[in-house]
Amino acid sequence: MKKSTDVHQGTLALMVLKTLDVLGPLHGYGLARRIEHISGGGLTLNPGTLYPVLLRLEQEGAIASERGPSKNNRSARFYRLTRAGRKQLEAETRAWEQTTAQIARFFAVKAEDLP
Amino acid sequence: MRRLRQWLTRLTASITRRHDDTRLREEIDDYVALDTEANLRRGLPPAEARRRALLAFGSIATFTENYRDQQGVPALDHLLQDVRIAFRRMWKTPGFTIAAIATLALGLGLTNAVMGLAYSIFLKRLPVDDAARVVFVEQTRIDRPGGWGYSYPDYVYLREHTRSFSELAAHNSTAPPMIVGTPAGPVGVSGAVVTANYFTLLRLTPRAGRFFSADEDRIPGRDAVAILSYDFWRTRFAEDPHVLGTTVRINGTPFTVIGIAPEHFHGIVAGLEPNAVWIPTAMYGAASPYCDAPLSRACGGVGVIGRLAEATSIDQAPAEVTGRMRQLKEAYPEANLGNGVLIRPVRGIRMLEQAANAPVVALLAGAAGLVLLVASANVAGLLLARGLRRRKEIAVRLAIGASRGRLIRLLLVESVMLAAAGSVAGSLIAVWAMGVLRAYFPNLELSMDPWIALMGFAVALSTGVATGIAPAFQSTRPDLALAMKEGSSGAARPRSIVRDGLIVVQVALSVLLLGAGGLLVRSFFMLHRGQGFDPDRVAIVRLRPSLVGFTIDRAWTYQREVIERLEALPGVLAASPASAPASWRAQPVTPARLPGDSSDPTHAYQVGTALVGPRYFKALGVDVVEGREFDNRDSMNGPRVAIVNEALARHFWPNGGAVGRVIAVGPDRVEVVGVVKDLQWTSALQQAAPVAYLNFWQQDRSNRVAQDSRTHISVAADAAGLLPEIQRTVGAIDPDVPISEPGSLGARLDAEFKDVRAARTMLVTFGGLGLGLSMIGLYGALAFAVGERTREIAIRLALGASRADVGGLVFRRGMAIVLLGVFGGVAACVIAGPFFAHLLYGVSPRDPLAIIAGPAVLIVIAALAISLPARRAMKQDPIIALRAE
Repeated sequence: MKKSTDVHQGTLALMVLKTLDVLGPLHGYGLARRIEHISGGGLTLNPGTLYPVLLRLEQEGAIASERGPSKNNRSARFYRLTRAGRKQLEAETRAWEQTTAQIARFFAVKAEDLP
Repeated sequence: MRRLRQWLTRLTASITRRHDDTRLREEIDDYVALDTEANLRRGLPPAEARRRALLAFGSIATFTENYRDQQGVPALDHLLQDVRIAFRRMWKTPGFTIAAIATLALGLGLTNAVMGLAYSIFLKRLPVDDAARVVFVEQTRIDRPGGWGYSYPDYVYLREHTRSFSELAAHNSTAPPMIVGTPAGPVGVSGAVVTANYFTLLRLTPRAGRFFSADEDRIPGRDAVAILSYDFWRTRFAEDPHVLGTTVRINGTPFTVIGIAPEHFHGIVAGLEPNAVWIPTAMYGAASPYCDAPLSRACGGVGVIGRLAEATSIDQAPAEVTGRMRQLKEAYPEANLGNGVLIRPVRGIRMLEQAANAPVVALLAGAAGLVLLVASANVAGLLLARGLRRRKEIAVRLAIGASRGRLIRLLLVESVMLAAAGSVAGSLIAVWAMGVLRAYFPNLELSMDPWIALMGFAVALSTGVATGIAPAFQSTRPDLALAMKEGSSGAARPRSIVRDGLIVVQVALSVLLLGAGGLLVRSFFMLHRGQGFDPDRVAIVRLRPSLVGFTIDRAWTYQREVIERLEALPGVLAASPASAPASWRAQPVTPARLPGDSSDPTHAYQVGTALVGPRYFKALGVDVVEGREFDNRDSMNGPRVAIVNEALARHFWPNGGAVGRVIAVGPDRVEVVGVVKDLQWTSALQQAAPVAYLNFWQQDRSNRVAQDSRTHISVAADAAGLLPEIQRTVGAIDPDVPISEPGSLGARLDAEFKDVRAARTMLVTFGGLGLGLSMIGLYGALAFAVGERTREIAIRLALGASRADVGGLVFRRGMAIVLLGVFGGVAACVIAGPFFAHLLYGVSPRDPLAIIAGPAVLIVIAALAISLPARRAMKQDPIIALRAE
């Protein structure tokens, strides 16, 4: 397993949690399109990447799934955030914000700012 | 926590193979359907909409694989798949599977049994709560090895002044036998004298009644209370609950039974006769006839056990105890204190006996290890042959893309599974072998402990890998093209060096086992016959009037009457009292000097001594070399006389003429009246010690043990048969005197040299098993080779080779293998001999006859094993063989 995939999967997991938090229960296809949309079209999400992440989050108990009716009278598996997932999202959001703030400070640094 | 939950789910999915494929398919279908709808909404025609959706989805195979990997644990999935494949194949070839499992079971089972033996001797803890914190507290001495007890007052001081132990108890678990009155008459049992806190320290709960109270162990002689072991209560009192509160006589003193110990508790010193009775230290006098004040500093010591306090580690405790001992030494300069402290966990049997048993355990472990090696080599040969037969299949697998690593893993999984199954079947063999060993270690609790089973399984797994690794590599060698092209014959046949080498190893190891077994058989034979008389015709009974409070005069009158009545018994040739059984080695600890020698007595020549009566050597059946043996002339008040052995005579009178000379043995000046040969059972590592035999009737009468004897009785026929008659005769003289340890000298030798007997039986058995396995291996390998070379042999025959030539070809190859193995094995045996020389009595570790006997048998059997495939090669019809190709 390559290292970059792990990072990617971790980021993707956070995106999944956030999307479910904001939009409520979604099926896998909907989730993929929403994440692509939110990311401004810069990201193409392959189902082969998304579904294992969903499976893992479910195994961890962060999300739960059940089949339900979709639009057009089709049925599909809908994923929703659990209580544990919400907590995880909050914790990871904080961690992410801290990291980005730190990185931002590094990017902003100029030679004359340093003593 | 999250991680854990995830892995648990995946692990369960892997193991139960519950891969939710329905869900996987639904997700794919839903995704594609939803994407198709989206494409339709964008105005694409239906076919195109679906095509694009499928394209966008990407590879379904990749998706499925990713999804499944996340569902389970991939490595485990692959392993389980290998296990299933291996299991299917094992199931399909039951003959091979059973042979391999049975062979490995043999090796693993024997190894397991010996591990169990080592565990019981060296490691097993007491069956009590938190046994790891129960320790022996002993003192060490410069002059003697091992750990020693304390006097009772020193123990009390330590108990009151040390903080390292939450409890410190004293015990004498090897007190003289206690003669206990039971409904069926008095029985001599092993009893222990213990402090009241002994049972509380061990945190035991009585099976019935109660244990000692502290008050019952305060005033000497006041509280005669006793606790019985469960086994004693069951066998002698039929588990009668009314025994509690009643009185039993112990060595003549009435004791009240107050409790029954729990079922599996037999005392704290393992490997001895189990304790049947416990009495408090305040009643020590009733158990010890040899010392008037057993609780004083003047008398022998008590063993001390402690339970380490919560905050103390076993490494911290000695410092405190050493400090207290120093204080004791200052306060009581006369105290016989050692110079160091030894605190060790209560594990296994007594320390000195652990040391004494270590060599035989090591020998058995080595031998069992060799059997395991033979078994492994045997199964490796089987796997190798099968790998060769499967060459084509494996070549195809490699050709269509299976990685070599994966194939090797598959083959290893198979051999490990065989070994695991062998381990399970082997536990039956282990239980059997433990039963055999129990006969030689009668007081050892030898059973299949869970730890032993676990250890055995670990050994099995490594055996599986070790067995399978060479065949796995050999049969997956990537010379694909050749294997596929040539099929099962011709140039691609892998060289048979590995296979032949495995047979050589098996033969060599079997020869080593047989050679060692041969030496031990000879050693055991010499134990019985090496002294020139028949020990089975000598009976010995131990008579101890001192235990029932005789005076010395009464005891000696009794002892003389015993001799008279016994000698009058039909079938008895002679009877004589002695201080020790003839089989004991007299320790050379007494200085002996010629009169007039005034040199420092501490550097004097040290000899062993033994007390024997008149006609002692006649009773044994040994002739006196020179002079005479004691007779009725040598009276209590007459001149002191001695008989010396040749080793002693040679030292003082190298030119002969010992008879009539005077010598000082310890404090006694004695006249030598006879010389006997060195009547000793010495191993190849020992030399006969010089021994002076002093007259039983001339010994120091003030010593209380002077009353007691081990009377040797020579019998015309079989001693064991006459024993009941002997016991009846002696019992009729005075029924109060306990008769103990009745048995023939032969039986006593069996018991005393049980390590030789155990080693002999085990090595001969192991050697026989090794022989059987290696012969089967030899036969199998040759039969296989003949099968492989069918075409070659056919061509040779067709070109004019005679049948004898062809048979000779096979026979020569087989014999070359066997002789190479025999040569290696004999060399190994000659090298290994010195390692067990301490078990070799009357036989040199290089005794050619003993070493060669086993291999000779092996060569004869090997010739038979070889002749079968050789005959098959000879009987081949070249036409049929060549057409079959």
